[in-house]
Formats: sequence, C-alpha cells, structure tokens
Amino acid sequence: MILQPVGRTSVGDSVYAQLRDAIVSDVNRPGSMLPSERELAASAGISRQAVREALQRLRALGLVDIVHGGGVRVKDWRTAADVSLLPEIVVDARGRIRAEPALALVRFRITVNCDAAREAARRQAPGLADALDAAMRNAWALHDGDREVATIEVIDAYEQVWAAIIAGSGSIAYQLVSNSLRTTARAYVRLFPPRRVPNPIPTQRYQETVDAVKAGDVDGAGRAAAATLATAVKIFETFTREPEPR
Amino acid sequence: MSDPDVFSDPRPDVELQVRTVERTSVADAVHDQLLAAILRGDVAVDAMLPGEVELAAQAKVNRQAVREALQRLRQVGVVEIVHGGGVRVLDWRVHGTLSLLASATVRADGSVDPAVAGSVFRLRMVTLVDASRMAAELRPDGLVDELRRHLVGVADTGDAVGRRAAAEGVWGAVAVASGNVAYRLVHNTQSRIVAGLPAATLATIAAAESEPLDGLVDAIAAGDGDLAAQIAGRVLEPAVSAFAALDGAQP
Repeated sequence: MILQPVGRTSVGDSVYAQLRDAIVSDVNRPGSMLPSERELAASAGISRQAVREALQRLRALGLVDIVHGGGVRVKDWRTAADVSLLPEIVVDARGRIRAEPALALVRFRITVNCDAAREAARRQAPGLADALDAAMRNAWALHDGDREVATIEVIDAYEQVWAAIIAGSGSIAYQLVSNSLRTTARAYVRLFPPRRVPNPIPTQRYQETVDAVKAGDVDGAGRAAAATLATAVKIFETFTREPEPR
Repeated sequence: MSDPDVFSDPRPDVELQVRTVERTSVADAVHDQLLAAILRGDVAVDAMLPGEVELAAQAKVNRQAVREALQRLRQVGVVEIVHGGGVRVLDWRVHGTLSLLASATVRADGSVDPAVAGSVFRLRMVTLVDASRMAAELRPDGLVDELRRHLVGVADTGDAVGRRAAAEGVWGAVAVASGNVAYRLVHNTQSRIVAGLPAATLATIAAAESEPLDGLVDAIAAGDGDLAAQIAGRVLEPAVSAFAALDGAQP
C-alpha cells in the first residue's frame, strides 16, 4: 500500500488510521507483511518514531504482530481484534460511515442498552431517578418554542438519557461500551438533516423507557428501550441505504 | 496551569513510585505500571501524575518512552493532558474506553474484580443470546456441521474446565455466524480475558456453565431463533450470577 503524505499535527494518528483501514478493509490480507518501519516513514514523510507509535497502537488492538527482526505481520482482525476496535471500524480515515459495521454496531447498542434498561430498573440505584429526570427535561427542551435544532443537539440529548440508564445499570462493561461509542454516535450526525421542529415521537419513546425504569418495571423497561431504538434504526436504515449523504 | 513548558514537571499531587524496568518495550512497561496504579485507585481521580522527567527518572527509561506511555493512557481515557503539559488522572469508569476491559477484569497482581468480571460475562451473555438468534435465522452453509464437530470435541473432553474451553468453539462459531462484527469482537476480547483468569475462577465458571450445548445446536439447526436465544440465555446466565454472588451484590 502507498501512504498519503500527512500534515504534522497528528502524524502518528493519520498513519495509524490509514493502516487500520487498509487492514480492516482487507487491502492488507491476514498473514501478509506490512512495509517496514523505514519504508512507511519514507512514504508518509514522517519520523520513524511516529510510525513506531502507530504500529504499537495496531498491535494493541490485535491487528498486527511485531515479529522477530522488526517485521510487521497482519493478523486476521475478525478473529484476533479486540473489541476496542469497534468504534474505529464504523468511520473510516476520511470520516465516511461504513454501512455494514455501522448496522452491526446499532444492533449491538440495542442489545446493550435494552439490557442496561432492565438492569437499571431492577437495581433502582440511588440518584437514578434524578439523573433520568434531568436528562428528560433536557430532551423535552428540544421541542421548546419554534427554533432550529441542530442534529447534534438531538443526538447529545438522547445520549444523555442512555448515559443515565447505563450508569444506573451498574455495569462497568456497559459503561465502557457506552464511553467508546459516544464519539461514534456523534459521527452519525452527518446522516441526518437538521430539522426546524424535532420529531416528538422519539422523545416520547424515551419518556416511556425512563418511566418504566423508574417504576422498576424490568420487562417493561426492556420493551420500551427496544421500541425507542427501533425508531432510531428505521431512520438510520433509510439514510444508510442512500448512496452518499452530503 | 500556567506552566508554559510542555515537558517540564508540574507539581505532582501524589508520590507515585515507578519501578525500574528492563523489557524490550519500555513504553509498554511504563504504560502497564501506570495503568495498573490508576485502575487500582492508587492515584485519585483529578490528581496530577508526576511529570515526564520525574517518571522517566524513576523508571530509568528515556522520556520518549514515558511520553509514548502517557499518550496511550490518554487514548484509552484514563488521563488527560492538561494545558501546560501536566497529566491529570480521569475517572476511568466515566471516560475509559473498551480497551480497559481486560486490565480492569484481571488486575495487575492477577486477582479478579468480580464486579467487572460479572459485567463482562453479562455483556457476553446478551451478545451471544442475540448472536444465537441471528445464527439460527441466517444458518450460513456449513454452520451446523461445524457446530456438531465442536460438540464432539466437548464430549471428548474429560474435565469441566476443558469442556468449557471446548465449548468456546461453539460460541465462537455462533458469533461468526451471526454476521455481526461487534459480537465477534466482544467474543474475541472475552476469550482473551477468560484465558487470563486464575484457575479457581475458571473452575467456578466451568461449574456454572455446565449445561450441554446440544439443545442450542439443535435449535440453530432447526432455524428456531427464539428457542436458540432462550437456550443460550439459560446456559450463560449462571456464570453471571456466580460473579454477582462473589461480588455480594446480588440480593
């Protein structure tokens, strides 16, 4: 592969992202060797130190092995990669969303968030109700008055509801999933056009989820969470089927 | 912070001793030590770490290695580099990324955090339940034969821990067959975490996850997604409960 020359600000990041994309999109097949550190540094026009850092990050994710003598062998990312690769395979180095992993990720989030809603409803952790109410006040504020609401505001408001539910689940694993995917959720902003009046139906679904969690209705919370997310998925699928959004 | 020099030592809030390291990747060793200290709570949230120079002197490594270690800690959300170059410890539960899952489950001293481990096994349960449903619905060519081969491997293994390890083959194939890359990656990470668990913990899980998988494979073979999901949940739930019991969190 040929690396693009990169600017100085985040040289390591850019080389890392390009190599990662090449591996994840199978341009560099499992078992093949990457160009040497020296060759990579020369083709990207950056220091060997920056290349080394990028390679170490790839190794930490389980994408490559550094073999004896300093060669870098590509691993089969489907069987070897760590789950922390997840947020990174959805958006490529150029910021484009890749449809298949994006849909896989949406389903994964549904699975996690529905179970988190059930657990939050079962545990009734102190402070849960206050956190949920604050998040819902914020969500309903999207509908106050007749103003242009940026898509990112809507996403952030809904993410805040999920954040309260995830915290209430008491699960460290779900918390780390949610932390890792927060930036990915924001990347979806490009899929959705801004709206003058946000659709109140998703907010109503969130309210139903929150009410069930607060009431300690475990099955109801799981069902309401699934309904909330199903609405989001429908919109999402419509947009990912379009050729390339603006 | 008013300190203009990125590489100077800001005043540390903690006395953090870092051992001298002798390893091929010195940055790795520094990273692992600092991460373990932060996950153990030796360094309080919001505290400033000693500066690059100080850490490099303590560990007897060059500053480049320390810088690399700090950058990696920043990427996984356990520290932030503040204006002026100081390094502040973040609450990893709030800011940490998924890459912390393994090191938070099995601590640097080899002990297991039952609350974190329970949450990992619950994540595994819910993803494999959905993966079982999808595998039954999609039934890619060759899947059922592959699952039956794994079952033979399970039956041929004598002890509970070995049977459980062989059963991982079934779950791996189910995760692949689901076609969902997220479920595969969760499975990869979870397998790696399990490989690092102490023998006593492995024995506990193996005892909990002892239900045979034949019913699951039959349900997948029959294309019955609901039944496959139901059986998967039944098989995987006891290990989650076992960790909850260890944690004392379960009522």
